Amino acid sequence: MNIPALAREIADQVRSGILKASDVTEYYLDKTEKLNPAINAFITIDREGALDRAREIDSMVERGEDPGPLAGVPVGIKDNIATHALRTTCGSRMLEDWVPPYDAHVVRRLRQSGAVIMGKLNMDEFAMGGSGETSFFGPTRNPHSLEHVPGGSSSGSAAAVAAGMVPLALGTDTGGSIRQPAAYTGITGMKPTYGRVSRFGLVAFASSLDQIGPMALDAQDAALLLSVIAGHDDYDSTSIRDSALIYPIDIKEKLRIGIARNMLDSIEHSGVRASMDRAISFFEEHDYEIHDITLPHSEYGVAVYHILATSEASSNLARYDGIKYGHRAKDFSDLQDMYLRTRDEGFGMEVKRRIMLGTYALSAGYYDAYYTRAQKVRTLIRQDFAQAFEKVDVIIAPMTPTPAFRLGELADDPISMYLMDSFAVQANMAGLPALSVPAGYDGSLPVGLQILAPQMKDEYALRVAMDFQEAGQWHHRVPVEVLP
Amino acid sequence: MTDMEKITAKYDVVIGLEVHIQLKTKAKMFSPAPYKFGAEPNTLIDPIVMGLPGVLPKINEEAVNFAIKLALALGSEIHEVSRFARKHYFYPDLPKGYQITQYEYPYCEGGAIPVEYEDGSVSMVPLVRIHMEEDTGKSMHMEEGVNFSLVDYNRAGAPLLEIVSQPAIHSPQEAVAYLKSLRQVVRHLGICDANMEEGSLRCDANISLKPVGSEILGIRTEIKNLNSFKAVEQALTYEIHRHYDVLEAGDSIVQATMLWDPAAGRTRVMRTKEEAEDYRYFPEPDLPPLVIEPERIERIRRTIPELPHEAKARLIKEYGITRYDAEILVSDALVPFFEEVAGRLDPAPAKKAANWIITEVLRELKNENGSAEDPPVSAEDLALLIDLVEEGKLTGINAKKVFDELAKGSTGAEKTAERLGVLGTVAMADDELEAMCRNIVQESPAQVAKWKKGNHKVMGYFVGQVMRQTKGKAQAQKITALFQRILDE
Repeated sequence: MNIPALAREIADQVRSGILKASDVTEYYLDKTEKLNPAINAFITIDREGALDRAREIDSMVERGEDPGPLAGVPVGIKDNIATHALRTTCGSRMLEDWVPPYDAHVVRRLRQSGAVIMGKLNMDEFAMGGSGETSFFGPTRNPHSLEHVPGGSSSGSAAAVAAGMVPLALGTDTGGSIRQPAAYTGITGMKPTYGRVSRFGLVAFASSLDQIGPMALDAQDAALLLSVIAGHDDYDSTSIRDSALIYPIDIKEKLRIGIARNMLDSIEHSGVRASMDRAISFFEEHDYEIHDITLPHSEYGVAVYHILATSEASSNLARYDGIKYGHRAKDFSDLQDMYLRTRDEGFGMEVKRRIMLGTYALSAGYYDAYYTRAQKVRTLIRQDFAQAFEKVDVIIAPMTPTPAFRLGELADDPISMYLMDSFAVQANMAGLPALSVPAGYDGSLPVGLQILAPQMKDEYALRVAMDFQEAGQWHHRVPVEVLP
Repeated sequence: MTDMEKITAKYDVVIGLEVHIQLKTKAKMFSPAPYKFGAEPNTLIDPIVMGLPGVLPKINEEAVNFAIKLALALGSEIHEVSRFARKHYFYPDLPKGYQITQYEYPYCEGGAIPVEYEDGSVSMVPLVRIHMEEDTGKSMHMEEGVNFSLVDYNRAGAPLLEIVSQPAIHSPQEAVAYLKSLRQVVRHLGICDANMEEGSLRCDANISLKPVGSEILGIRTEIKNLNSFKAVEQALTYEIHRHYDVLEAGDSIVQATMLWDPAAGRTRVMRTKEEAEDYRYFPEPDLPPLVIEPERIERIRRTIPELPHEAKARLIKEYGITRYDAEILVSDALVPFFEEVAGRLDPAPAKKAANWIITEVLRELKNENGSAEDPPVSAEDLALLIDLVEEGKLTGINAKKVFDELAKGSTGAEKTAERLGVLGTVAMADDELEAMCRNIVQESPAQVAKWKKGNHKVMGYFVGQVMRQTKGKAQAQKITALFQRILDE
């Protein structure tokens, strides 16, 4: 039996009765169970639930019903998205045994579209980290080189898609957490416009920045998954009205491209530089209208990001107090002691670091110097983009300063780790859609190209990515570590 | 001179109140779960109330409408754009580790509470602001020696309005009058039950003393745990004396939050300013700014009834009823019913309608747990009943029997009276009636003896005898006069 790697091909064949969803699911489950011990992409594999659902889809097809656009497609869910009756850990000891009594909005949409939820994917603890190494459940490894990190925080999502364990995965992106691991693992990952996908059921890290997005092998599959999850949700007050996305994407006009010159010029890594030069040549050769644009405040992005994200995180994570759910310390002398021990035992290093930074930034006497000022710079960054998008339709920029680093390489150097996000955080600051598309290799390690678009023009970024990916065909390269 | 007079001769008492009222909306402030006082613990909760990982708040528009209603009634200025913020602290009954409240940008500022005093005079106490927020759950601490506490999250997330007065109240009595007036306003608007025992109206008080005439406010203390009007009055009185003693001794007041201990009749320090928590307020990122459009305000303005003090003044003037009657009609939301009945009366005066409503209708409502919007007897029937009595076609006693039948569901006052066979009064010649009375007096030597000793309660017995013999159709007033004359002969 020939099981396709792409989601749209699986869905087409299941809907037309050529393939059985249960065979597809069985195939991907077997592959996952074989590869997971080495890669550690999944925290929870729901074999039983997935097969039950697959059989339901098969009987729907037999009855002549249409299960939906993702009929029989196995999907992995990042473990910070609530799944009813399926434990949702956020990669943390704090929620090691937490089983949500409800489905996230996106999960409900997936179920309604015929998708088969295969399980929950590893991640940096509470989505804080850029390597996958801060997970309580151990680091995830890059399928292109097991010595290297897959990036983070959507480490499991990226690794699972790259390794062919699932054709599609949901990730979440607060400061690059979908796009950076997508770049490191040679797949396509997109952070949609803030507000285009409901956050209801996404365990909050930084509410004004968090966004759920698709991770897939190519831009078409990413668009397909986004079309399923995008759209207004009454229970997310930051959700945008009329925000559905039509699949397939139909944009005829040639889009104008802006090159973020100051970001490109800051690249020191030769492999990444070569990939960027090659990308620009591609657009020139294909008669795109190209403009240089500047984003004067982008250099403050990482600093501002870390003030705002940690401030919100310190607040969002206050609810983990050992009272109502999650980890609670066994021995304690009084309430205060219970809080201290519970949070000390339940949270890892990186999470504690960020809670402390955020608590500090919001404290009386520091609030204006940090939080208020950071908000002002955020406004300037947003204005930079608004200005740039007056003359171009998309902006291309590097995704990461280097390809994936080795496990442990930056573990003791949080500042260097944070600087890896400097190109990624811009889109979160401005609420813009942005994606990473495979743009070449440096040795065995993939390099990603970032494409950003104006708010609610997610289709533009996807359209350009579809053009671009045809040039190099890098998205079809199978990771060496999973070659049969 | 009383203590208090001694104090106020030297110092101005300055009191500001922070009142929380719980809105009686169908759902909570940010979730669809309902709230009701006294329900089984932890039955009125959902993932949003519990602050489960991943949930988001959603503003309850009914609560916003109620908030707008109060702002309009009190003449506050409503801001078109306001914001919610997060206030952080750790406590088991606070599910998310923060409370969603309004901080820098409340939805309204200014306005005033019309405070009514017992003599009927009204003074306006100005407000600083009103803002919206969510309630916490309730911790239940066990007796000494038990090493756990229980938490009930039913109340968590219930919608609250916090009403902050200016420090413009000058005595504990004024503070209580302020609370009573506020209670009457919110009940009148139908937005809150305002029951201190059930916690749907809660009060914290700030108090300071300054030398008479001084422009500079003294150092204040805040008093919490004021669960009744009595507690408010006692705690403030206690605290005024305490401040006075400290100041007179030449010491200065320590800015602190005090807890009222009703059993001991004193305040205790809960925490001083140095120990005050840093709440780390910041704008709630899960909620966009709240926009209240002018059209919405106008739409709600049209639904605002006249305020209690205005209604009372009008009732007294227009219908000639007493202040006492007007008070009850207004506070029990019976004004519309009263006006409907009074409007139909002819020839009976409006005063009779007030009497009937305050006694019979109110009693029926209280017994049956009914609401003023759905009175036990229609205005038409009640008006007719009162007129029948006025015209001498029905005695007072029989009218009450008819009323009870109507309250049980019977319709048509006259028809019901006829059916009961009580229509009409005894058409007995005066001498016939007098003979009946003299007869009763002769047959009741024991009661006559009591009367002669000054026990006038036995009149009830004599009248009752006549009523029995006439099936209640005799006019009580007339017989009473007759008996009085005969007995005093």
